[in-house]
Order: sequence, then C-alpha cells, then structure tokens
Amino acid sequence: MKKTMHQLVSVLMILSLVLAGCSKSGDSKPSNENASNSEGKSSSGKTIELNYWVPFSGSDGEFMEDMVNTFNKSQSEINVKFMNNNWDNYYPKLLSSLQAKAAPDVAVAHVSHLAELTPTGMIEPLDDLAKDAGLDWSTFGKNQEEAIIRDGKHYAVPLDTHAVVMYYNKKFLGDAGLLNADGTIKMDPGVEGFTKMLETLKAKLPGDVSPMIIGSNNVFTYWIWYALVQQQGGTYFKDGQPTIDTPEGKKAMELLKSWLDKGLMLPDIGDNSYDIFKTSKAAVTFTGVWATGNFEKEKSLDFAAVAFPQLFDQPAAWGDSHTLIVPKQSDRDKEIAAVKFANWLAEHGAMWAKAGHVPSKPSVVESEEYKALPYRSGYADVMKIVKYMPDTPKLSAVNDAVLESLVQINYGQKTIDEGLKEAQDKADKLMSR
Amino acid sequence: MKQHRSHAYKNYLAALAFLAPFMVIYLWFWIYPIIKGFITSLSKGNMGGEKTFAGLENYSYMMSDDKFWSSLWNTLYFILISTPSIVVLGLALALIVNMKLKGTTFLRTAFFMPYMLSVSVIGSIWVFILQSRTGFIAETLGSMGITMGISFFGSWGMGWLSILIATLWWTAGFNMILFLAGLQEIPDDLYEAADIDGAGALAKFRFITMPSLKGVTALVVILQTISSFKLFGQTWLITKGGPGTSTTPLVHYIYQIAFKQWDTGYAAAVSFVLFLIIALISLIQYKLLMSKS
Repeated sequence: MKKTMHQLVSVLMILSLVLAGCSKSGDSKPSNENASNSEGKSSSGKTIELNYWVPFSGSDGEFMEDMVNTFNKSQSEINVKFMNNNWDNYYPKLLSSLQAKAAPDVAVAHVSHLAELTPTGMIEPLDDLAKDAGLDWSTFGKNQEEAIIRDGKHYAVPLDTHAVVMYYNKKFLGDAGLLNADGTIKMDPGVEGFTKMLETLKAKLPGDVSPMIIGSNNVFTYWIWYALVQQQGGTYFKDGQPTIDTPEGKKAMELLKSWLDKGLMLPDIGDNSYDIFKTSKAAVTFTGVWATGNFEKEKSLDFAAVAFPQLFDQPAAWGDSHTLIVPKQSDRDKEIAAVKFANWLAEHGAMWAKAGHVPSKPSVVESEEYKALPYRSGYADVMKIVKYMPDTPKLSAVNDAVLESLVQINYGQKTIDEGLKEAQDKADKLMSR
Repeated sequence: MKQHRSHAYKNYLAALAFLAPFMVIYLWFWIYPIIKGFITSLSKGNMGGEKTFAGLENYSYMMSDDKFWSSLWNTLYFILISTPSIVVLGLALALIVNMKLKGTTFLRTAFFMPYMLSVSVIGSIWVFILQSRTGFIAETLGSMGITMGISFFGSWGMGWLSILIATLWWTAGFNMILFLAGLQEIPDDLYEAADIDGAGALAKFRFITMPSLKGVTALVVILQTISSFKLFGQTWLITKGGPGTSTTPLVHYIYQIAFKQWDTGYAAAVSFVLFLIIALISLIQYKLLMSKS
C-alpha cells in the first residue's frame, strides 16, 4: 500500500512538471500579441486594436512611440499597440511571423526589404483598402510612391525617405575660409572641387582633425560607393543581374581610395564615425539623415546638413524608405484601420522628421511645422534624387557580399580590380542560387 | 519466477515514467531538430518562398564556396589559439586562487565575475576599450600625447587577437572553477609524502598536480573546443566579421546565410556539416584523452 502511494506521488510529481511546462509555453505563445488570434472588437463597432511592429531600436524609437501615443489620443476608433523590435533580427522575426500567419496588423518595412517579404504571399496589396481608408496616393512624393509599386499594385505606404547626406562642421570650414556668407560650402563643382576643398581643410586644420570621415568597416562604404556609381549613370543591377565590376564602379572606388591614400579621410575607424564627427574630430562626414537627432544633442557642435554632393554627371544619393505594410488577415475592418493609421503617420511626418528622416508627402515638407525644424530642410531635396536599390529578394545578400569586398579594398587587403571582380563573382553566384 | 518478472516489469515502468519527461523533451528539442535540419538541408528556395527538393546540391555548392572554406579555417584557427591559452590561463588562475593567500575570496570572485555577463555586455566592453581613435586605450594614450599605432580590429591577425582577449577574459573564470574543483580533489597526503621525500614545488606540480588534473583538463579541452566551434556573439558584436570576411567564423556565416541571404537549405547544410565536424572531433578527443587515464 505504501509503495503504491509512493508510485502515485512520483507519477503525480512528474505530471505536474510536464503540465507546468505546458502552461508556461502556452503563456508565451507569440500569437497572443499578434493579429491573427487577438480578439478585436471591430465587429461590435467599438475600438479596433492594432498591433504595430517597428525596428527602431535606435533613437528613432522614442519619436515613433510619441507618434503612436498622439494618434491614440487623437481619436477613439483605433487603438494602436506599439512594439519596438531590435533592428538586427527584425526581418527574420517579421518574415517568420508572416510565414507562421502570426504577423502583426501593421508593420514597418524598408522598401529594400519588400522583395523578401512579398514572396510569402502575406502582404496585402493596398489599392482597394486605400480607397476605403481615404488614402490618396498622389499626395506622396513620386519617387517614393513608385518605389512601393510591384506589378502595378501598391504594396506599402511610404513613411519617409532616409538617405546618406553630407554633414559639415561649420566652425572648421569657416576657419579654413571655405564658407560662403549664407553658410554654404565654398567649393568648385565636381570631384576636383570637392577633393580640393578636403585638401584645403587638411592644410588648414589642426593635425588631429580629419578633413572627412566615413564608416570604414560598415555599410556606409557600400552606400557611398553606390551613390557615386549612380552619379555616373552606372548601374548596380541591370536586367535583374548584378553589375558590380564596371568602369563606373571602379572609378567610384578609386575616388574613395584616393581620399584614404592622401590622408583626406581616416582609415580604419570601424563603426564610430558618428562619435568622431560629434566630438569635432572631423570636418565633413557622409552619413545617414538619422544622425541629425544624434548630432544636435551635442551643444559644442556647430554643424549643417546638405544633400549628398554631386561629384559626377548627375545628382544621385543612396537612400531607402521606411514604409508600412499590412499583413493579410480575414478582418477587413482591421486592414482598413491599419491603412488609416499608416496614412496618419505619413501626414504627421513633421513629427517623424524629428528623428531626421525626410517625410514622404511633399505637402508635409512644405509645411511650416517641418520648415521650423532645424537642419532638416537643408537636405529635404534628397528625396527627389534618391536612387532606390533594385527589387530582388537577394538584395541583402548581394549588398553584404559587395560590402565585404569594398572594405577589403579600403583596408588594403585587395586591389580595386581584384576586389570588384571578386564582388562580381560572389554576386553572380548568389543570384544563381 | 513470475513474481520476479513482474517486479522487473514494474521497475521498467517506474524508470520509464521518470525518464519520460526528459525523453520527450530530448527527442523533441534535440533529435527532431537534427533530423529536420538534415531534411531542410536537402531543399532549395528562399525563406518565405516555395521550397523544392534539391538533393545534395547544397553540399556540392558548399565545396565550391570560398567563404565556407575561409570561415571554416577561421573557426579552426580560433580553436587552435583559444584552447591552449584558455587551458593555461584557467589553470594558472586556479593555482593562484588555490594558494590560500590573503584575499583569495576577492580574487576568485573577480576572476569568475566576467563569466556571469552576457556576450552583448562583453562585446560592448571590449569595443569600448579597443576601438581605434575613440576607444579607451586610444583616448588614454592620446591624452598623454601618444597615438595608438595599432589597430585592434583592422586586420585578420589583430582582429582574432582582440576576439581571443575578449573570450579569455569572459570564459577563463569558468575554466578556473573546473580546475579548482580538480585541484581540491587531490588528497593532501600526496603532497605531504612529496615533502618528506624532499620534492620541490616544481616537482610536486609536475608529478602530482598535473597527472591528477588529467580528467579535468580533458573536460576543459573538449568543452572549450566545442564552444570555440560555436563562436558567434563575439565576432558578431566586436568585429562584425570584418574587415571583409577576416573574422567571420562558421556559425557567423551560417547566420548570414539563413537570415541575410534567406537561404535556409544551404544554412542547414552548413550547420549539418558543422555538427558532423564537432561530433567527430569530440569523439576523437574523448577517445584520445580518456584512453591515457
């Protein structure tokens, strides 16, 4: 009898362990936070709950959270639940959630990543929904609107444009006699003028201040190379195939390398170009517009920001857009609410512009509220010259492969010819997969 | 007889009941993913898109993939430099702590502390210390008027040295604890006997301590080799695998294949090869190190 009791107790204990395990996994089921399973009150005509995912783990996150709070207070029909995600693994997470049909109701996605997301068949084309939600596509910048059209359908709502632009330290340029009275840079057009400006800076500035700085072991090298190729009318992809090893690609890389070799640009600064510019150790930097919010916090820094300079035949800049996508779901009311929310965000782009990004609607760029923001209007025009990257699900893979080779060139591990040829080979190989 | 059999049967039943929760989890989270991973490695297609059966295509592609070979070499190189240094350092720290000096408790805590930090903290700390121009070392030297002439992340050799330093600082404490446990299991009378025979400190270390630690050393070597094979966090956070692909180890590359290139089939294939390599090396090491003792 006692023995049976013992056995019974042990079996019960084991069972309780198993059950405890179950209940825990049940609690942490991701679907609880997500659209597919959450019980919206839409049918009863009351508040519609929307789950909203963003990848703004940087300083942009606060601005977006403020916007969501403002939106929620501004009306009682829709309530948006904001969830910020780590940028590094945002796309793996979003893509898996789409595949598992456990996606949020609305999410931020970059234009450059749409091609990875659409093959899931879970991204809702927005044309019909837009009509019901009162969204007018013509209110968006033409360049920005075209970037989200696939097979004649709109797949996302553009929120902004973010590009690599030029920041310069006004004190240093002033000291070197390179500023016009209105604060713009005094330099001749083209590559020669720009390089000469850097040389003047090198001659006139203290030794510990670098004339120019760009991230050397990170994606900036690629973005700037890309912009310089586009300025020469070159291509990155042509007819769906990568064109890396081209005369334009070579010329762009030669320019970057010559700045390094002449000491006009610091080598090997890894990731910390922001800090170096922020602490007034560099006069000029090419970096993303999102740095504005970072730089303006530094009181000792007197800077200005302008569009990426035109060094070759035509203006062009690397850029991307944050857009809002609506994952497919059966509840149409929620989808319409998601589009309404997306449109509201775009309309209130002046709030978002605090993070440095250029709003996607020209009317917002023209607004007094936007113009009143310091620095931002200096580079707003970049939205017209941004050359979006090609639309292929292999884009990130090819970009990374190209970046690796370009960095190797910059670090002197490969010559320009070797590096570009290798990049071309790698890109071809990736495309063949 | 019958009585005996039913008793044995009951015993099995009880054993099974106790094992079941573990077995279910083991099969589900360990064996099933390995099988599933192998099946995935035979497929082709982007994550999120259609998948088709591709046979051994991923494996043949691997043979011609330069980055696979360079990451494999990087991984092996890291094992070659990290395993001996961590064994020596772990043992040295254990010996210091075992000397029963004043402040041992503090030392033991100080040596073990970094191990409790997560890899992201380790990454931030070492980037903060080592990075060129705005790093702690560079700034300190700069304030004394010296320019730091070396670049810690700027080349293949220095990149790996930096990763090694960060890894040693992070994990040496754990290996110290293992060695310390081994040291404390050595009976004192062995040392006393050696004292009576007039053996010096070196001789005692050579003929008592070292042979007694054989088992622990084998354990540390195996654990360290396996964890070096799985190197990911440090390179991802400190050097980002660069410059170029200089500090990209295999697991880092697998992540890139799966979540940047969205090529789940190929990522699974490389993972499976890594699994086979680790299994094989662990087996050889285990046989070699254990047969001696």
